[in-house]
Amino acid sequence: MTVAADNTSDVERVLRRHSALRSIRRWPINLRIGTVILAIIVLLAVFAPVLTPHNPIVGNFQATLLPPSWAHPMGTDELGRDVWTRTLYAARTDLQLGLIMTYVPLAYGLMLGVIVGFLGGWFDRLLMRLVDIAIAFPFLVLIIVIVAILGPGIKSMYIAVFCVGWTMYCRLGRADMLVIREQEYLLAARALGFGSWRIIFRHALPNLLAASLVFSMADVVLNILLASSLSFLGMGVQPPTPEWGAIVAEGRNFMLQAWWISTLPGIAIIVTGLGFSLVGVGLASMLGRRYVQTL
Amino acid sequence: MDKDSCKRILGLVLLAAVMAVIPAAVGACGSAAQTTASKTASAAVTRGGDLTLARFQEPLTFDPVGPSDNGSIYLIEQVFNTLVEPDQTGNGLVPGLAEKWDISPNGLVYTFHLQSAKFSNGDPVTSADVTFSLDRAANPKCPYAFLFVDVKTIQAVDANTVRITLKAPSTPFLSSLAVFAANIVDKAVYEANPKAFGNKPVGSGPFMVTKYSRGNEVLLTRNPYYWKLGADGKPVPYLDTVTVKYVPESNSRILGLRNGTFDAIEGVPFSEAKSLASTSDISLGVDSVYNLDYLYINHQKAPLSDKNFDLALNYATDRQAILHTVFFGYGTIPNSFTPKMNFWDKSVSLIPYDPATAKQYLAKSGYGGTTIQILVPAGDAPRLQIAEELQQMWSAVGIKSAIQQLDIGAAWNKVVAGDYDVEVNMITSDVNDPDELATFEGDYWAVGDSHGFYSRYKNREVTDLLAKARETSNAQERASYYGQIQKIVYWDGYSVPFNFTPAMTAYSDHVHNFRTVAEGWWWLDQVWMSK
Amino acid sequence: MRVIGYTVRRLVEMIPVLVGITLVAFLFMQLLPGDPITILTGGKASPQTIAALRAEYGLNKPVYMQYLFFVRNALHGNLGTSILQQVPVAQLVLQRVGPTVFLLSYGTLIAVLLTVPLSILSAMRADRPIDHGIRIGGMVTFAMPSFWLGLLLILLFGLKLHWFPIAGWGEGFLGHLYYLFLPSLAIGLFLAPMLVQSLRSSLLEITEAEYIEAARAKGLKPTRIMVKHVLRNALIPTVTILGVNIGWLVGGTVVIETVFSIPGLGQLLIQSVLYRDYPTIIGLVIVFGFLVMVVNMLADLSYAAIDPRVELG
Repeated sequence: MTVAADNTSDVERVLRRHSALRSIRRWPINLRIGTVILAIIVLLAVFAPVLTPHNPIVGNFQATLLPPSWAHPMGTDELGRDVWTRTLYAARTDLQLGLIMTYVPLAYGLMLGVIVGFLGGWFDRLLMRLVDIAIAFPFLVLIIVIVAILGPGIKSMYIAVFCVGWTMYCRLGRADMLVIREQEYLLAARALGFGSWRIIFRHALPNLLAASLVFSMADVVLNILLASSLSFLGMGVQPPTPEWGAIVAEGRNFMLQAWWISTLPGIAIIVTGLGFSLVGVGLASMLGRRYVQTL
Repeated sequence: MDKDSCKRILGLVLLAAVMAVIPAAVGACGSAAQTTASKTASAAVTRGGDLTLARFQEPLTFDPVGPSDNGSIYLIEQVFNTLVEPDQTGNGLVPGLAEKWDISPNGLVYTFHLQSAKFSNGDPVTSADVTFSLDRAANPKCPYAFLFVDVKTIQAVDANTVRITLKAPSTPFLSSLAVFAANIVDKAVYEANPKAFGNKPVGSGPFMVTKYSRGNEVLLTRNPYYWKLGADGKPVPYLDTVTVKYVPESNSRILGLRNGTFDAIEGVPFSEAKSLASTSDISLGVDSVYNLDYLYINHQKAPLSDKNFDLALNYATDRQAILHTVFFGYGTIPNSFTPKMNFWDKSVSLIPYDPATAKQYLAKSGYGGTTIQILVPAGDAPRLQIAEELQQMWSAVGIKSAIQQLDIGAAWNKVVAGDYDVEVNMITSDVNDPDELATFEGDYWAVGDSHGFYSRYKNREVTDLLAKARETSNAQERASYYGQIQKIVYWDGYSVPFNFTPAMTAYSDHVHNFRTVAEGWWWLDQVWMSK
Repeated sequence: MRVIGYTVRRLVEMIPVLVGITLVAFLFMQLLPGDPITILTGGKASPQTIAALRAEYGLNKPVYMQYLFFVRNALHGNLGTSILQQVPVAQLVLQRVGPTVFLLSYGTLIAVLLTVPLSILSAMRADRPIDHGIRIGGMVTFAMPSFWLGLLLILLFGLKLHWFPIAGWGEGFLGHLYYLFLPSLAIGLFLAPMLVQSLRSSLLEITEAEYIEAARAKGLKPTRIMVKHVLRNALIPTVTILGVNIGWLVGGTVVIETVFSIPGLGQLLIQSVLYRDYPTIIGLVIVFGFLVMVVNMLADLSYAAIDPRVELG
């Protein structure tokens, strides 16, 4: 649905936002906390080899399913691999997954929505039908088909998500564009002789980015959860690559006697999710409360 | 004499009759067989009650001809009977709907004399039903028709007699008649509405289907006309009903057994077995079945086409570690390419775990470093774990590999097309004669074009031995042939076998006589529940 | 009248989308490697058996012919016969649509029952500890993988406390309510946080609007203002989010259905795709597509119900 926007304060807000970004002290508290959490996760991922002596891939068959101890703070899994180590290395996989599966579709989805919203006409109707089909088609069938054709793994997951992940951003961009294209400052720009494309890219897009950016924070979390559901079904990241959802899925077969396997990566997902959500909420309140409604 | 010894003597007499009529070569006296006489229920049986059984597979249809999934097969066995049936352990054969049979001296003509039995709707079982059902099973459209390739004619001699003539003598034939596809259906009901039969089956077995809610549960109710007698002289089954629930999540099955929702569960994960066994009012069932977990090898693809490489794979695999970490000690390390069946030769030595020897064989094969793709059907945790362990063990001797999880359909497609390197999977047998599986797996040129069950393993000597084993009816000769076959194929590096995996079930203490038969299912008509 | 006209128009608009979806699905079936007969017969069947069975199911005909047969049959209400289960697809789907729809509705209901009071509480005590607690709690349950959350609920309520059943979906309406409580709770705990976030901020924003100031000036109690005036307006964007997410959920109930052993459409979908049961897959794709679009339509209709000023269409 369309979201009302007041054009003059939008421009003002955009200007204010740029200066606000430079002055971290003016950030709302949730944005600060969220950013700190994410920064910690990134650091843990980057410095994983330094933080643990164990190998995340090679297991020790004599040391399987050991409970937490000094040597293995979060125990070992069914192949004798240290759970803390695997969770750390998995941060790399999940961060990469979450960001790529969100921001790549955001880029072309938003672009499509903005262009089509501006141009209108049959472009618009065609694209909206395409969006309906993309949304109504069961994602599961899509992913299984892609995996069956291309083989399982991260690449297939990306392709499947790239096929349908753009729709929300397209709608957001289009909805906002439909409103602001009648706004004065754009009409003024057109009157002044600026070309359509220039109007779109230099004036409209920065405002329209805000809603998508806010939603993308939730989307990253949703994509990480999607990866874990696919691992549960056997179609996600392939072993032995560590990925939080995959480790939780593997660990569920041992939930009753080796609870530690699922617990740490599960908490890792929650904390990362918390980080992204807090950033999202903080961004929303900083950019203006109206954008929260698109979350 | 009391009832128990009466039953014992009756059992012995029956056994003697069976032994006299069938040549010993049927295989019923193979090393793993047990006499039916020793399996009588001894305690006082309580009748009545409902057994709630939780399974991880659901039945797709109750039509005996058509399915090949265990979800359907195991329940079909509770609803129908075959002419000849597996015995209590599943390794031998006993009379089913045929109370006795004669075999002509040249081994070509089998004459079966039917019991007087009734279907669950009261219709009598006649030879017309038998010929109808067996014709369906032998029809090329039936996936199990290959078992009846040697059949020339099936005739109803009179209402209670059926004569089957073979094209050539075949010792495994009686075992084929015990397969689930040869279950006898009610011809009249089937012909009245063929498409509905799979939903509302009518058979002569111990139970009938009173409710079939797909994806959810099946309610089996005792067949009032069932002809087999129990320990107390009255007809079995002892139970009133069996509620079979479909519970795909293993944690839920276990929790359900623990909190009393389920009375028995199949598919107990190995990791949970010990803890269930030590729970006070729960028993763990570990039963020997015709099941082998192994690594399929595609002998058509380099470097797997080289026997040295296949042996290297075997020497490089630490089977003890796999047995311990994946199967938690349940099962035994196999020395064969088929499951442990009649005529299994325990003297065939095991290929030991020896990385040094593995490297020697690897060098002999001239392995150049290609990455072996390990195919694993998706969503199967133990197989995935095996694949990960293989990857690690093999890399320790210098073999590179990558794991590929594919959904069952895609994985199977690749295997059938020969577009795979190795696959972690298993094989089971629905027939208790070793011929079926040994031929399937070991004979490149066998009927059905599966080329050694997609292994593309070629060995003329094995094919000849298999033919000889099929033709002779002498048990000792057969034992010798199958022993030789086992040794040759296993030591050719046909596959990397992991486990003669047992069937893992668990049930609460008030459930009695619940056990898994070698073919994988259970004799639910023998189960009784105390209060 | 407007409502009926709008509904009819929306239903008609669904048809081209449904056609589009089935075309895409048919295309995918062709690209998908593997064949239902080979899988069904388990690999021990001979080539003749496989060929004979393929002919029986019409799988040896060219694709466009198969599609045309399908369309012709579908227009007569016949969605074909399942290759795997030998029963009409329509029957299979009808048997399983109940649990899935019940699950989704129940999950939504729980989400709404959680959202409304929690959002109001959060908004009225904005930036106080309780507000932070509710929002952070929501972010936590939102970020939990559904199968993990499901299993934890089973462990806690099914085993330790033994309050709820852990598998199946029960008999009768009350039975369903009892059996589906835990899985619906899992769904609700996932949906609610997003809804709370949205509703809360809408509430806060509208609370500052002029007409609310006027109501306050008139002396109305804060709670009453909240419920009668603020809530109605705040609900609209929240309903959007609900609609979008349920649509997403419709295809995604598989995991919950598997963990809780619910005989729904999600499990049927996985099974059909794994076994390449083409007729069932197409039938399910249509049903899912239809459900998603119906949900979106209901969301749009509810705007009018909530706020009489909203014009349909």
